Amino acid sequence: MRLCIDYAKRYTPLVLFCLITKTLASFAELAIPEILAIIIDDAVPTGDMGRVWALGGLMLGFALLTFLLNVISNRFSARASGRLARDIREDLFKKTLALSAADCDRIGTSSLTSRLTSDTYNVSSFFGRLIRMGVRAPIMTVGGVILTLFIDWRLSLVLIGVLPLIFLVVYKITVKSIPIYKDEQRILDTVVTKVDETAKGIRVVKALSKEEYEREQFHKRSDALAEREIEAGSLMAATKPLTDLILNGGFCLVVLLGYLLSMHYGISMSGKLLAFMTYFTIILNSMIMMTRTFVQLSRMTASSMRIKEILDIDTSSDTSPPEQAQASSADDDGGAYIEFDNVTFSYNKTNPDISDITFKLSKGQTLGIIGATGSGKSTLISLLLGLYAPDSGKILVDGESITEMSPEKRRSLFGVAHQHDFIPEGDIRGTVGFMRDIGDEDILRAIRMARAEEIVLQKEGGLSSPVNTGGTNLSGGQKQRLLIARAIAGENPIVILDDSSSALDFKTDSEVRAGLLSLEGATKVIVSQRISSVMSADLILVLKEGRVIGRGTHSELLSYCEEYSDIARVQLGL
Amino acid sequence: MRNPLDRGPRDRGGGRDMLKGRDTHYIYRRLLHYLSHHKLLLLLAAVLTIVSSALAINGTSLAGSAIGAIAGEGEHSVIYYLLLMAVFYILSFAISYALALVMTHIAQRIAARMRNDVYDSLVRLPVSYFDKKQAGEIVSTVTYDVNTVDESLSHDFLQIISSVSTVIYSFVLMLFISPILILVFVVTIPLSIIMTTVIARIVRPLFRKRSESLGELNGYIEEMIAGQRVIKTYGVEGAVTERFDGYNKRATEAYIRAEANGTMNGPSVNLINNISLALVNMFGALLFMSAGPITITLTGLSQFVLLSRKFSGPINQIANIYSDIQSSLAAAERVFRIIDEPPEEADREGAEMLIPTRGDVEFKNVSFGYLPEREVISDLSFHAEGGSVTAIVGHTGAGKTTLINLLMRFYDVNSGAVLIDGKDIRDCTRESVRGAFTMVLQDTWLFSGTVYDNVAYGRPGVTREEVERVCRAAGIHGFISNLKDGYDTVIGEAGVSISQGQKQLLTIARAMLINSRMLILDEATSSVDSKTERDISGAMIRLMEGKTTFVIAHRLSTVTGADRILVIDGGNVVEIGTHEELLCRRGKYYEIYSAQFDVHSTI
Repeated sequence: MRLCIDYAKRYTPLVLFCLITKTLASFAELAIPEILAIIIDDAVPTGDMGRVWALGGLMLGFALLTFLLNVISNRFSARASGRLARDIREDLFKKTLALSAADCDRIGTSSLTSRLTSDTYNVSSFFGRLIRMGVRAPIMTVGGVILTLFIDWRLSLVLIGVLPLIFLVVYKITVKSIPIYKDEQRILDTVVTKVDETAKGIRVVKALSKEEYEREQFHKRSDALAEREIEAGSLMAATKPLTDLILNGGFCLVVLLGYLLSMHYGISMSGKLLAFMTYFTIILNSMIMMTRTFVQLSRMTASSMRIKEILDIDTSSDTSPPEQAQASSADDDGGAYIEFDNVTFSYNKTNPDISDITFKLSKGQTLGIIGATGSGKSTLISLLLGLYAPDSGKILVDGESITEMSPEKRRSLFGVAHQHDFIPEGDIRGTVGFMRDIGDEDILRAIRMARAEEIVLQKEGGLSSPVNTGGTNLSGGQKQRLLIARAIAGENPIVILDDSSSALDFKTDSEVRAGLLSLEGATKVIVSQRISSVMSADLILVLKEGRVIGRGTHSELLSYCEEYSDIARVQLGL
Repeated sequence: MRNPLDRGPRDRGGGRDMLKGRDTHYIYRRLLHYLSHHKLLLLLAAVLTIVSSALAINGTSLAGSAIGAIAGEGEHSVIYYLLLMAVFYILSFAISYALALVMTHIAQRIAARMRNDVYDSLVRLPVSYFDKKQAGEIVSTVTYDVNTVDESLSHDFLQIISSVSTVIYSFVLMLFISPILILVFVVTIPLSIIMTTVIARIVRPLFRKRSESLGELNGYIEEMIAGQRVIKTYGVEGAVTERFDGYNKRATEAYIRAEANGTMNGPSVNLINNISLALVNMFGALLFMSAGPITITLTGLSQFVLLSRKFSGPINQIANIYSDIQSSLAAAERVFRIIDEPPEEADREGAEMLIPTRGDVEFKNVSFGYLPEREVISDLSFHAEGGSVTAIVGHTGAGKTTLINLLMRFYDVNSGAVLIDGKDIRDCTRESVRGAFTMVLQDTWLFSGTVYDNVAYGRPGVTREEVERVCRAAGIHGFISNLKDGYDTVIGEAGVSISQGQKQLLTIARAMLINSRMLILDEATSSVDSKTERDISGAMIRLMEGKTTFVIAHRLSTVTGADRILVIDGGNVVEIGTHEELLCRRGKYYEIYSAQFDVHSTI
């Protein structure tokens, strides 16, 4: 709610205008039954035809006025809610891009996406509804009640007695339905998961002839979902009949009371009763609107809380370390370009994922990192990229602490290719250029260096050949080569290949590496499980369980590092 | 009422509604088929609807009589009318509640049936369907589209009956009260029809535009968030945001335009109602006063005023329902498109069960292409004797995975034949061919279930000890034991993180439980580190023991011991032989093999 108000403030005149026109429209509408009562109770008994004509015309006039005011108001409310959504989305999107890796891990990609898509949608459509209905419904209700007081205050008492009852019914049912709906959502998720898994694992399902089994599993979930929905639906089914019953009961009471009053005072009540019933219907409809808005409000609140949670994350100091205020005293690094000094880091802050990593690398050198699955290779790269701040120790690049560096400088440093990396929809040019200002010549040069020219040549469109999201129209090897091209196209001073040649065969891999080595100015970091990928590096780190258990060149390691020579024996057949 | 054109952020297929007449009829027929399973209940619902609308209208008309009675008209006392009103209203309540219950029941049963039908069709589809479609698209059809259709079926079906019966019944009653006043509707009904159709015509393309542009925006958002880390690393937030602003602006403009015109509907309906009310009231009053032959009593006027409100509501709703149905037809079309998708070709007439004895596999002049005009394998022949190990080596994209697709009959050859024990596998049932193989793929597939369920997937009901045994052999037991619930840990739950390598080990364990004559290892250990790979090599050898094995691997160390190496290049087997033979030949294999020593030798 607060979120809505904050953003709505930017459009105060617009919103105010909507609210005023809406209020006027509601008043105009409320006047109509009032005139009806006057016609029947005052004009008809006098037999004044002219007055009937005049009052009838007045009714038509008010009907038209209501229409015009409502249309105008709705138009402007559409504008206000549209812009509100645009602003929220924009801020949220920018914030999301700026989030630190740790925050992204914590929140999760799918959650971030749904916050930007469904949650902003919920908030904006609620806001539009709020401007349109939020004013109208209360005015119609309160105004209606007040006007009925003028018709006959005694009849109004019935109305005032009935309204809370209706509200209570709707409220109770809604509250009761919330846990059921929650459970329903959970079961729906299992249905979604099953379909998703089947679509992705169809080969395994078919290979093992598990179609029947999967069908059974799905039917079970699907039927369970239906059961739960029937339960929820049965509960909600009572709402309309119950409110109708209460309303109609009120009707009866009003007629009864009208009858008693006319008996007692001997006055004409017909027009009043008729007008009263018209108000009654208007008020009931408004009540239903309001309760519905309340139901939406709960959903909107959840959504806006989820949005606010992201907007409130402080990204200004996204990776600044807790106790690393000491300035980058990098005088004694003896020309080291990349330096890790006793770096320890843990994702969950309990068991360190890497500990006491220390090494130095000069400009233009190549660092190879090898180790088993889960030995901390990728963590080390994430730290080097400044995505996370080390828990202790220092990481210096060009003599400056990576986490204290300006984001602009930090980002100009690296060209990175990960194993399964992000490829947006577009063309080959866009995949390699990646929204940077890189000319076709440089792109082609990078593509050649990554041995990916065959992909360009094969396709009819050349650099403009389309690439699907995630590169689904490319083979694994083609994807990796384009990603490597992307990493070197920017001519960044540091090129990192994070297990990015796993889908390449040895021949292509070695050609790509040869191309990479020709980048003399660049400092290269190659992470791999293959010895052949790292063995020509100037420095090789062998990682095991987050620690460096061997460092040196290929031949040094072969002679003293048992783990390394073991791997070499298996992979190279030495 | 939910706006039928407003289909939320999930909808990304806004571009194709407006079906051709013939298709529409077809879809209606299909939908009627689903309804027909509940004929009796639907009949009951229809009757209940008619009765409950009649009761409500009678109650209303009684209220008019009561008002008249207060003024001294009519033959019965006010109390009489009041009691009747109360009875009618209570009955109406009971009936409409029962009706709502019946309809929820029917609606959910239909939804479940439709979901199940889509899913049943899905598992029967050939693998090629899934190679072409995004999983997300399929999910959205099974869930959101089914839901849209179902909502509209259950909701609109009743609405139509209730609207029609209310309109007819109140019309007849009003006709009895005053045929002259009915003339008011001669003005208002066409007016309302014109207004709603005009609005619908303006609004529909606007809403389609809105869905489209929102879909584009959301698609862009999804993509960029997936790449957030890379975007940050490359520092291209500016360019990304700029594009985002473009999408955002377009979506906002489309939203405002659609919404501004779409929200005219409510006020318009209101306007017509108010005009009716004013006209009925005005002319009713004039009639009441006129002493002529056509006149109206106060009762009649009261009834007429109240009934006219009941009458105009449904007229407008029918117009709404029409567009509602239009949009759900588009969803229905997507649902039926999956259901109607031709399933995997049926097994041939008289297809036999393949029970391989020797496990002898032969490719005989096999040609194949995913697209008819582009062959990826041409005229391939080779023979793998039972129990032998065949390694398949070649550049990325050379067609190695295709061989597996053909062996498993995920795809069938274009020409030539694959023979197992001398039998063309196309003459055998698919199930038996697939059952003859055990397969471990590079793209590991685990589902959200316990570790035990995942490992035991191929042999349901296998004992816990057996599962533990294979997990030990696959070198993953230690990891599983450290999970919070051991073998009962649910995969996919928050907090359970399994690396790609560990996933591969789990699928290897799964394969170890299956006893078949033939084995396929497609880069089965590509994400497993060398150390672990060596640890489980004994188990892998046991897994391969006695089985005709096909191995695809990048690591040459895995293939050096094979009985036969197929070197594939450009879709053709260019070399066949053992490691030593091929090395001596100094051909393609030598080229690939020596690549890893290129760099080595320069050190």
